[in-house]
Amino acid sequence: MVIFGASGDLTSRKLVPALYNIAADGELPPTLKVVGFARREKSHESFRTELEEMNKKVSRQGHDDRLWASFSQSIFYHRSEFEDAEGYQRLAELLDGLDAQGAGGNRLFYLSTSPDYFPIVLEQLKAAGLHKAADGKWARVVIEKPFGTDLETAQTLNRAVHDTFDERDTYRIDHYLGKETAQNIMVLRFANAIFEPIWNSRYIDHVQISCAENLGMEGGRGGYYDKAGCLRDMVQNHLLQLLSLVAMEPPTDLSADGVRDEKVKVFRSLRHFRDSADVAANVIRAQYTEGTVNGKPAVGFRQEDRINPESMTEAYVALKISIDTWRWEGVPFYLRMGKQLPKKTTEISIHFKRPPHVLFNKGTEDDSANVLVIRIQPDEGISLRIQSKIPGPAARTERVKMDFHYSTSFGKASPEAYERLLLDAMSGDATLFARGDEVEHAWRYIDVIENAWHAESGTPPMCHYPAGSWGPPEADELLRRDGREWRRL
Amino acid sequence: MTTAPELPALELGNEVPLRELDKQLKLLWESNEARTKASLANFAIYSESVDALEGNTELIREVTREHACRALLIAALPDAEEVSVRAWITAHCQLAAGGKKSICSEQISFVISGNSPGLVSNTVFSYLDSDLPLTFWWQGPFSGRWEPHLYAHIDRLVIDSGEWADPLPQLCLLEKAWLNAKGDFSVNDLTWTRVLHLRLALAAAFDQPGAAGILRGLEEVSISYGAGNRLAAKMLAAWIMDQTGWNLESGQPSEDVFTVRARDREITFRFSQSDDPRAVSLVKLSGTGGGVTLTHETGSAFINARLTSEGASSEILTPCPCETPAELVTERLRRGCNTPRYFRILRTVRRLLGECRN
Repeated sequence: MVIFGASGDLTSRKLVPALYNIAADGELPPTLKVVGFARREKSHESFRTELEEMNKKVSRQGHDDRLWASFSQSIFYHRSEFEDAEGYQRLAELLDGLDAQGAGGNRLFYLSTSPDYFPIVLEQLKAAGLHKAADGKWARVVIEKPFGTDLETAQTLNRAVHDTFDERDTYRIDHYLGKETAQNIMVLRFANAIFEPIWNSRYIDHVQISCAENLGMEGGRGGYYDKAGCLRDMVQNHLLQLLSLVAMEPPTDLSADGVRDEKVKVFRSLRHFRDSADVAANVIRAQYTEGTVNGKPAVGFRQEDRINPESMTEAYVALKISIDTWRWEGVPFYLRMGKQLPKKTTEISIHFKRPPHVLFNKGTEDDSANVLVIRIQPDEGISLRIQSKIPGPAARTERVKMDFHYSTSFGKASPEAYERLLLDAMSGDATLFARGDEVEHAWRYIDVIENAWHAESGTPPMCHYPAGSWGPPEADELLRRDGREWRRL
Repeated sequence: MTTAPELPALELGNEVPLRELDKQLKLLWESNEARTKASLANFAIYSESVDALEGNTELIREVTREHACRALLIAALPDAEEVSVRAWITAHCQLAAGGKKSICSEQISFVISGNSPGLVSNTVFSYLDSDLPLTFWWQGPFSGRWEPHLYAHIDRLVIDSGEWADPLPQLCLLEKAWLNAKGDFSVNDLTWTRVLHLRLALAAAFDQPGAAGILRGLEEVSISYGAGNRLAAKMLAAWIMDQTGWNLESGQPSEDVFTVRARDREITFRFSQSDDPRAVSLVKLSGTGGGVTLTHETGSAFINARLTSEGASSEILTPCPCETPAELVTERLRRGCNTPRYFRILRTVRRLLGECRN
């Protein structure tokens, strides 16, 4: 496995700890060798030491010195510029050498560089002949997000990828799909007979997908974020992927294409906004202003490090999505994502229709609808809100919830998303990775919104919310006008 | 800027960094598998005094014996110059299932210093158990922190109007907020709860055969209240007027003696303060057709209602199990709320106090 951009945070915080934990579970192929490819001067040993320090801090299962000593011997460092053809030739020699020591000949190239380098790395891999594996072996590429910044760049990148690798050898990673709870959406829906019959517009009133972060632009993130915004950074990939898992039809089988074909149908069914006015009516964008988060004063978005003081980039977005299928006719999907909200959480809530107001709730406007909540992170699990009679002589009801927590129901902690995804990429299962056409359809939908936001006239307004609050009042109004409200997270 | 105020040593459990609160709560439960976490509601107590925290912890311990909840104790110190938030976690456990099981409620305590927009609501409401209703006990008079963002989260508001030195403007603020929230939260006033069993006893007394004759001839109502419970006595009087359809005459209803008008006669209300520690120790309704006397003696768990009519008398005992704030809250949480009725009574109470100015 070759990690391009190996001196970045992702390698030390996520990828190597994921491999270490796979090793701790005894599931790492013993012949696996990991090569970090980056521009900084480092020795194998100094690279290993850096990784060890971080692994001690972040490893899910803790850090065992003996295991690390053994595991780290499989880690190597290769210094090269990404544009340097000779560097790739030396990489090929290094890999051949490792093969000679028993590495096995399969190749997994992990592109964790800045996206600007994706086409360059792909081109150089091809030029060095590294994209083709020996007979009976495979060569695959894993590509980190962002996969383009709009439809055009995504198509260009797809062409660059396909010039070098076949689609079946391409793994576009979206770590949300590697989370246990995201994987469990299909199990919940299709392995339990009670849910699928009511998973439609007859019983479901609406769906909410919320992703809240209680951080701002710490760690120099502002430079990237001010160019991207949360619609591109989170909604186009993570939240639309979650939406597709909730909204898709049952696949004919669990093969990668069986599942991804159904997800693509969802993306194709998203009703595109007609014009700027339609975007303004259904999409709220906002920036946070000065406020208090987690008991500490927080500056406004435009005062953040590396953010343009006149930035028109959104740090919050809420949108109402319609899906034109028989199943979802008249069932809005409300998505929201924001920075500097009161807490960090991601969840999907399925809001069922209210029971008729004839018996226990006669003459009231009570909040008696059942809600099924799929908590993606943290505290992964599922809960179902139901009405229950309060003990006593009166026929009074109160809402209660049935709760399933991964952490307490199963004996061991869930693996990190990257553990599952790296294992899948090694074993050739692309089910939890986005296919090229999925990505393009998602961008096609998002581009309409971005174009409206960046049009010269009729631009939808930028709203504001104090840091530490739950978003702008306009986002509340988006639901209130439909007689609904955001779920309390 | 000055630093956050020095706090007294607090027995609130483990102090945890705010950012790690969820993680530490998880560890709290994982550290003892014999304990079962139970929660049917969020129950928050808000006070603007740090001194109240430990007393409120005791209160939570008592309330959670019957009502498992996620408890949030909040001490806000808006006058501190520096914004800071400190948090503690602990659990209150009760043995259940014949002592075989330990059922626990978790408690998060916050000391929130300083003033910043949304500081209290943004901090505290991030730690609610999402799908469960929120009961919010606001202790003391309403301050600047009582604002729409805060009460928008509340399902059931608990107050104790009897502890307000000047209840009239507070009751007006309460009603305004309730109307502003379009009646989205219900109100449980512990002062109103203090006279709950007297109301039940009185209603039961007038359900007796022959009681209608007493009611038709009533001429005087005397209510004797303990120190600090004048408002409770006025609420009871307002309820009696509401039940009987008596109209408050113009004049000086805020005095301790006033008259109300029935269809064919006047009825005099007399209020007097007694040395009895109970909220209302004596209620006497008398007239030409006999009378009803409610007494609540010190040490008795019952209210005694004595009916006298045409030389005969009878007695009814009504249980009166709640005295302390914890008992009152526990009693309230057992029952539903009829908030529109409370505000209807309150309109009369306000007239008895001298009416809101705007």
